[in-house]
Amino acid sequence: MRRARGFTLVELAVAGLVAAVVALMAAMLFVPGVRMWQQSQRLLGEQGDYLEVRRAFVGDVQQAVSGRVVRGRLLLRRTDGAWACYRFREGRLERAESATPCRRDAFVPLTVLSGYDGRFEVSGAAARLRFTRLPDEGGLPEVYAVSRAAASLR
Amino acid sequence: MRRRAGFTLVEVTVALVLLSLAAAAVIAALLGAQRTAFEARRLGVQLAALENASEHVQALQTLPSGESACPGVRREDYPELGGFRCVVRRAPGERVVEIALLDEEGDVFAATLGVLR
Repeated sequence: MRRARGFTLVELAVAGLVAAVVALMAAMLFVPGVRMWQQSQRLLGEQGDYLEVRRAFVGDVQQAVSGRVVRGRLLLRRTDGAWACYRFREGRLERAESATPCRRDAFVPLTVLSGYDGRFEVSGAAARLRFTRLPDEGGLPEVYAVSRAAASLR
Repeated sequence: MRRRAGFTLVEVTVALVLLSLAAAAVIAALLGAQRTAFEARRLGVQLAALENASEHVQALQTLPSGESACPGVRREDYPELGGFRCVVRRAPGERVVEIALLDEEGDVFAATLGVLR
């Protein structure tokens, strides 16, 4: 007599158990793995943003002949007569460069990531940018620059 | 006699071991990427500390006679660098100073040159 084809209940139970264990192990490795990957991406993204912000901010402040903070935005007038303006908007740091101060349509984001906030300070010949919120936990150092073109920005 | 179709226990075990090794390799690679990201952040902070110190040095009126603490650089602003110290020293050249970051043992781990105004 030929045996009926198919799986027995015991076989199915064992297969299900093995599959569950494998799936559980995969999930236990996958979830922290994805978190690690995302954190690495955020850290590298933040670092890229910071270098870009630093390059633009220091360059503008070093060329500035005057500067002030108005309603949370930093306005810098440069030696070439142009205005550089910085503001935080919707979690991004934006910069505008125009012939008139802070032209609304001139703002472009400097940061790729979102989730930033911060404040600007001007004192003497120096301007400072401090981050108060970041996309990731941890902190970024302030960006501090001194004008080479003026003894005082005020 | 016809052999019964299916996997043997040895085959299943070998497959699971191979899967575990592959998973371990992926985790090791992710850990490496994470370590690289943290290292990149630390180097970025180190660069920022040196550049900020260099900007602060601009405000110095006189060259330091010996070794003095960097103006405007506070340890708590750079927690990624641990218990470091930032010092300014006179360097060869007119109005040139060396800005050095020292670790807890007093060894220099990063340095740059700054120019007074």
